Amino acid sequence: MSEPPSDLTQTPPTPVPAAADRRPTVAPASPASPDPVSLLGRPRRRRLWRAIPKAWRTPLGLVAGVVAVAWLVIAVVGPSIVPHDPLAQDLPRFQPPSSTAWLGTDELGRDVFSRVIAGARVTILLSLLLVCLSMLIGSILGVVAGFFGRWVDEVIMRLTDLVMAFPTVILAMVTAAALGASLLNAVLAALVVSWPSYARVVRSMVLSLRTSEFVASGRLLGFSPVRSMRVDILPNVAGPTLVMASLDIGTAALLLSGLSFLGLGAKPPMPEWGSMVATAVQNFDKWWLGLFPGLAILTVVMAFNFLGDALRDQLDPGATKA
Amino acid sequence: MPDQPLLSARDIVVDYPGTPPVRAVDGVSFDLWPGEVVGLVGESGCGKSTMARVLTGLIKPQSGQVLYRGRPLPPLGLRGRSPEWTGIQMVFQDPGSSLNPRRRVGDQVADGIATARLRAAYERRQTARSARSLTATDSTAAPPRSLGPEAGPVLDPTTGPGAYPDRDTVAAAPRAAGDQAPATPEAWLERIGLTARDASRFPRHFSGGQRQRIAAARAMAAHPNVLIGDEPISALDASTQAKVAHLMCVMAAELGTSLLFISHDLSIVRLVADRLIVMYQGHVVERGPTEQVWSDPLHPYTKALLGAIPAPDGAGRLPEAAPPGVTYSLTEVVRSD
Ligand SMILES: Nc1ncnc2c1ncn2[C@@H]1O[C@H](COP(=O)(O)OP(=O)(O)OP(=O)(O)O)[C@@H](O)[C@H]1O
Ligand SMILES: [Mg+2]
Repeated sequence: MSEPPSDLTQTPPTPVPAAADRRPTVAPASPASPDPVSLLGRPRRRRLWRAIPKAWRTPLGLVAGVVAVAWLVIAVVGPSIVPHDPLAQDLPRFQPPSSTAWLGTDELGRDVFSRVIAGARVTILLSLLLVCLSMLIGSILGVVAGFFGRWVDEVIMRLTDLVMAFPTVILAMVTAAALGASLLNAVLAALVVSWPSYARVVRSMVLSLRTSEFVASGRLLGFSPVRSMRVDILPNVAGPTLVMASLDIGTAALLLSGLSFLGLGAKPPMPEWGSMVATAVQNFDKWWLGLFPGLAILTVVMAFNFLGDALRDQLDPGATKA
Repeated sequence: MPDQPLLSARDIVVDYPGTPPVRAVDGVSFDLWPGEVVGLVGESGCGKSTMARVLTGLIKPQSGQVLYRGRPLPPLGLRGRSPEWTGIQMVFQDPGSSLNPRRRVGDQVADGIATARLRAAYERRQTARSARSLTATDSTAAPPRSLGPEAGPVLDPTTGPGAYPDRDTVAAAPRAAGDQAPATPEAWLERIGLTARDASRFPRHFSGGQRQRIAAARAMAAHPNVLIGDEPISALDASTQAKVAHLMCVMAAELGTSLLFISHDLSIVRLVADRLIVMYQGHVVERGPTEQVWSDPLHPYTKALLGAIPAPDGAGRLPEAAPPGVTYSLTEVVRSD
């Protein structure tokens, strides 16, 4: 019986900090603020405060959490609470913000407020979808590469190199243009450029875990490779990967609205922030056209980035227990 | 008296890739007999960990063979290890990575117990099979070790500082193999001086010494025939070192497990080992009964290693096993008596 040469002997290549250089840098969450518990005073509030995980008890973490939750709620219930039909062209055109159209109207007489609210569903849900898909695909490929090694690893890693050799946005543009302009194609294009960072990070984590001592102990106890993967390796990969994904939601929103801005995503009547900003650029003097969808993108991106930071602080076992 | 060694290394050579390749172990052979405690000593980098990994099958030697109960040990590849080979267990050097940080320690100890059950069942099947067939040639399958249904009398691992097991009394105590062994993770944790409640905690809640004891408990819960301790205590402070070394020896003696205790610290190994093997730059340079090697070292390297131990009068000679620039002969000295 020929035994495969021991796979545990390989030294893992040094992990490549792949994701870091592709993501816009995010300011670290501010250091813990002076304990606001004393400011709140009343015991009920204090109990509420304690219910919040420690890492989130920073002003930035809290604000980000509130903003992100608000946007998620809007994304879910948005279309049913809008004051006007986001597609109806029945208002006067180019109206500045007023009591009938709170954020003004656009070049076709549609209510900007309603369109911003309705656009939340498109952008946020698609970003979540994109992040989940790229995390899933990237992680599976990364685990496969790290687990099987040899030529499987080689093929997958060269593929990530190939994708990562191009600037993200340009590759996404080319892909979206090749697939044809539609929102779904924009997601596919974004998927093409965003899975490799997950694949790389997951692979390097799997490789270094596979040679670690507790994994070796498990194998000596007779763990099958599948068991070893499920029990010893994946749980240790999951945390960092989820943090990476949550940090990626903002980037995904930016990428998707960027593609729509360039006309490669949402098609005209659809309320989408990126394409709304694009029309605003053509009507530069109508400040309300671009400001509000722009602010929507900004707050979503920042909220999810800070949320990711807070999550990372919380999940890092070293940081939680000093 | 057993007629064949439990585990034997035959002319092991290990090269690590590099330019030129590093020869970490160069032609090492030794035997480990049932129930004995062997100390493997040598300075840092002499190939002790590499040897330990070869003996467990974690790495495949360039040449040479590891025999477990007379049969060649298959290296651990992509496939899982059959119960036949789970009688070899190891405790690693680094308390920070010897346990899975994301699993409760009780679950991790339970894995060891499950391994023991699987192997007991496997060995029962093997003996039944060889009993049935008259043509059976495989005499290596030992009778299964019975797993005690509940925790036996708990030996206190903390009987004062520096309390090492008295090998003779431990050995003289009646031990129907495994009878005293705890059968639940909680009992194992209590056995190593923790509480049953600790089973639901995570490794980060424990100190380095406690983690090494948990790792030892997990390995011992598998009822190994051979336990290899790769400097399991060297990352711990002096008083904890004593406790963990003591515990490992007592547990090994209780279960009749052979212990290969690897260390660069001769002063502790001396107290637990029946035999010593001294390694230097990938070679065995001296071996023999502990007291003989200790009181009458023959190889100059062993003498230097012994000289490096701070004298008990507290004069505090600095530990300096191999002074820079000094090299020793790589040929093994042979004890004539
Ligand atoms: N993965 C590796 N790749 C290349 N060289 C290695 C590797 N692991 C160990 N070596 C080399 O092999 C030699 C023996 O290493 P080993 O870890 O077996 O030493 P050791 O006796 O256990 O030392 P220590 O007491 O410090 O643990 C060393 O010279 C080391 O540099
Ligand atoms: Mg070592």
